[in-house]
This record gives sequence, structure tokens and C-alpha cells, in this order.
Amino acid sequence: MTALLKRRLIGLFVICLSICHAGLIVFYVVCNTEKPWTIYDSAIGNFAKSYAGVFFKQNWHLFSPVPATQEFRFLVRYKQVDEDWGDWQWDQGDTLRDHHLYRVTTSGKLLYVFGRFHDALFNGYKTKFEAHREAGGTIDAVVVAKIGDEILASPDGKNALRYAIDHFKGPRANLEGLQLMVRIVDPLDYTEYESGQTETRTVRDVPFPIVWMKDLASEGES
Amino acid sequence: MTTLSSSPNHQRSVRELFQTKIGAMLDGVTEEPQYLVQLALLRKCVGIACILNTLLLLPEYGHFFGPDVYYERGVFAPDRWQHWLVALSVHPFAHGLGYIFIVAQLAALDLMIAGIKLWLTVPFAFLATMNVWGLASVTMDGGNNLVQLVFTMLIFCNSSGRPSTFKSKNLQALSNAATRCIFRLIQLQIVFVYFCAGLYKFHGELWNNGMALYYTLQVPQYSHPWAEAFALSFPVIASLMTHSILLFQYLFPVLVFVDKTRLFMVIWGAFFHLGIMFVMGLSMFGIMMMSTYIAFLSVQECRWINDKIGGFFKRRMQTAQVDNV
Repeated sequence: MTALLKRRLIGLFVICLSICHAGLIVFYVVCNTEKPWTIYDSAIGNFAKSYAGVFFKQNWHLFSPVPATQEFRFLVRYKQVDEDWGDWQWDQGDTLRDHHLYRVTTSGKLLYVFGRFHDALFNGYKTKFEAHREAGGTIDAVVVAKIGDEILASPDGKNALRYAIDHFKGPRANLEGLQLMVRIVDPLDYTEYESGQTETRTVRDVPFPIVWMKDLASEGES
Repeated sequence: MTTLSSSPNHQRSVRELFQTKIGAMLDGVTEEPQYLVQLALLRKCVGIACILNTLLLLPEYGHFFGPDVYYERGVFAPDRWQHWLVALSVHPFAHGLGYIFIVAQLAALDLMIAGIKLWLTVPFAFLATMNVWGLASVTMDGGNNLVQLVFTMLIFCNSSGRPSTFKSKNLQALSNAATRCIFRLIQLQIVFVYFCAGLYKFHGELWNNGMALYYTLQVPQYSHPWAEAFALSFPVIASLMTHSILLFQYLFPVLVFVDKTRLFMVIWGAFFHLGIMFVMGLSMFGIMMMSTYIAFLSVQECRWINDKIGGFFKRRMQTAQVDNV
């Protein structure tokens, strides 16, 4: 085999590899978006997913098709021993203020952490309460407590609870329980705002806070 | 009856022409690439972006790299070979040792930027960066994703800025072909991002009716009080800006490859991402995306940047030496 032929074969090999790589990436992104064809679950579809999923995982939604429009706030209130429930607290206000003041700092990234809390709570509400309603069930205190426990048992729910307990400002021994809540601030609707019908945003809370009470019996044993 | 197209002489000349064209293309692929300067500068910019990302998060080490963070980092799966490379930081054995991965990442990235032993430092910096990002997984966004993809591809090409020095002609041909093809794949990957984002936006009602920015700039996490006030006071301008984002994402994948419009699209993109950085507060996203734009600069433009930045540091070092004397 001449040197020229060897070089050309090397070039052809690299070009073919590049075309295969590009094709697998396009296939992977299309397959991850929707299932337009039955080949999504075929051998080549699975190969594309396993190839790209290692080092070439990608998802380019980037605020599309639906951009963020609502503000979510993660609220906590505490109950101390021999006291009533306290006021709702929103801890991320200071972080948000710093994020607005200093654009290239950690504050913006810290907000991502809090975002996981209200995602867990809000999505938990949506899926579990709505599924219960669609199944014809009524929402009563027992159902609310059960769904609340399920949300708190999820990984992000556990982290939200741990965050709330860690940021309790009083002596830990005084903490009897806490409630977690997601508050949603809707944007000003363009038509209503321009016509002067409204100048303030709608603020609403999810229907039921998630309640956690300290388990005094197990604490006594430990 | 024999026609011109079916005559043996015509068919032979078409075949020879085809073979000559294909042969010339394959010969061209294995020649020394012209994009060595761009790849070297891209390597440095990717390295700097990764260092900035880590330094940005270090003041809140406990929230992002510590052992008791408030988010799930993922579970280490010993049966998945890739976890032994890019997910060691979440192995139970590495609990609380995030600082080791950070030190390794910063050291490797410095060596990579300096161009020292790139065959070792580029892959090692990539793996260290993946592990550090695995610790701070909650902060990852599209910019991190794109830089990770470009970083992966830089491992397999010559990003030293100098021709490859293999003694074997075949290895040299392989290196040249890989460098040429990977450079184009990097460019295609970047335009693919904008193409996909534009396509998804095409299916979004708020994007199509021009109201996306009007509503998104009311979310404090992705806005600023003055930006929100601006959008509410001047909804027409907010709508025009929404449409300009769509226009940019539709035009960039094509016009960035046309000589006359290339630089204009790069500058438009830079302003677009600067807006995302300072108006929406997604600072690292903007920095990461802009760092990959080096792939669309010409050799002269990259040399100009190298001379300006390199010259700045040389003058600072000379000044420091004079002061010391």
C-alpha cells in the first residue's frame, strides 16, 4: 500500500468517524425531545442515547419553548415549644438582593439551590394532589398529611427540610415543628397592566403547607 | 445508439474526475491545518472559563463543594465505567474531599492554559473539571454543558498552536485529519446549540408573539429591578428584543460561516451574551458561551488577541522585573 493511499485511508476514516459522531448527536437530541419515529426505541436510537449520554449529553431548551414567567418563593415558619406558629419567613430575599447588586458573584448560583426546594414542593403538590383529585379523592387533613410526608421523603424534600431545620434561629431544643410553603408571584399581564386594570402582581400560596413535627418519642430513645 | 453520457470515454473521465476530487479532498484533510492558532486560543479560553467558574463558587464552598449540601449530587454507580472517570467526586470514599478535586482542577487547568504537556494536562483537566462540576451539579447550565462538549473534543485534537511533531507520517496525517475534523465539529456543535434553541423557541407562544422578555424580566431571579421596570415601561422595545433573539438564533448557524457576515454575527452574539450576563444575571453562562466563539475567529484575529493579551502580561512582568532591580 503506497504512502499516499495510506494517508487517504486515514483521512477517510477520520471523516467517517466525524460524520457518525455528528449524526449520533443530532439523533440523540431529536430522540430526547420527542418520539417522532418508532426508531426512537430501536437499536440505533438506544446506541445514540448510550453514546451521547456518556460525554456528549445535551439539551438546548434554554428558556424555550416556555420561558420562566413566575417567581417562586420558599417559605418556612417555625413552632417553638409552648408558643404558636411564627410568621412566614423568606430567607432568600438577601441572596436575591446581592444577586441584583453584584452580577458576577455566587449569589446567583445560590438561588439555584433554593430553586430545587420550591421545585420539589410545587411539583410535588401538582402531581400528587392533582392525581388524588383526578382519582376522585377528597382532600382532607389525612390526605394532606400523607402527601406532605411523601414530598418530605423525596430527596429534594429531605434537603428542603434539613435546610429549614439548620436555619432555625433559636435553640434546637426549642424547635417543636415547622411548615414549608411555596408562594407563587404571577407576572403582570400585559393587557391588564397596559389598560390600567392592575398594577400589582397576584401572589398566591399553594393550598396546603407541608408540616413537620419533631418526633419527640424517637428523640428520647436516641 | 451510444450517447455522449454513456460512452466509455465519458464514463471514464467522470470516474477519474470523481476520484481526483475525492483524492484531493482526502489529501487536504491530512495536511497541516490552518486553525492551530484558533484551537490554541480556544483551549486557553475554555481553561480560563472553567477556572472562573470554580473561583466564583469558592466563597460559598460549603454550599457547593462541601459534604453536606442541600441538593442531591447523584449516586456513584460502580458498574458504570464512566463514573470511575467523571463521578469519582461523588463516590462515598470521596465524601468531604471536594477540596482535593478543586486543587487538582485548578492546577491542571493552569498547566493546560500554559500549554505544558497538553497530551496529559488536557485530559486530566477535563476529568478534574467534570468531577468538580459533579460536586456543584446544581449550578450547571447550558454554558457548562457546551464547554464540557468542546473540552471533550479538544482532548482529541492538536491544540498546542504548533504543527504536530510526530515522526511517523501516518500519525502526523491522523493528527492533522483529527484536528481539522474536530475543529469543524466544534463549530457545528456551537451552531447546533443555537439551531436547537431557535427551533424550540419557534414552538413557544410567548416567543412567537414577542412577549417572552416582557414576562421573563419580571422574574427577579432572571432579571434586575431596572430591567423589569424597563420592560414594563417600554413593552414594544422588549418585544423587539424578543424578536431579535429569535432572529439571532435563526441567522447565526448560517451567517457565521459566511466570510462577510462572520465577524458581525460573532459581535452580535457577544452583545447578546453580555446582555444575558448583566441583565439576566446568568454571568457564567455568558462567559462560557463567549469563550467558545474563538472557534469562529480568523487566524489574524486570534493572533491579534494573543499579541494584545500576551503583550500585556509581558509588559507587566518586565515592569515587575525593573522594579525589583
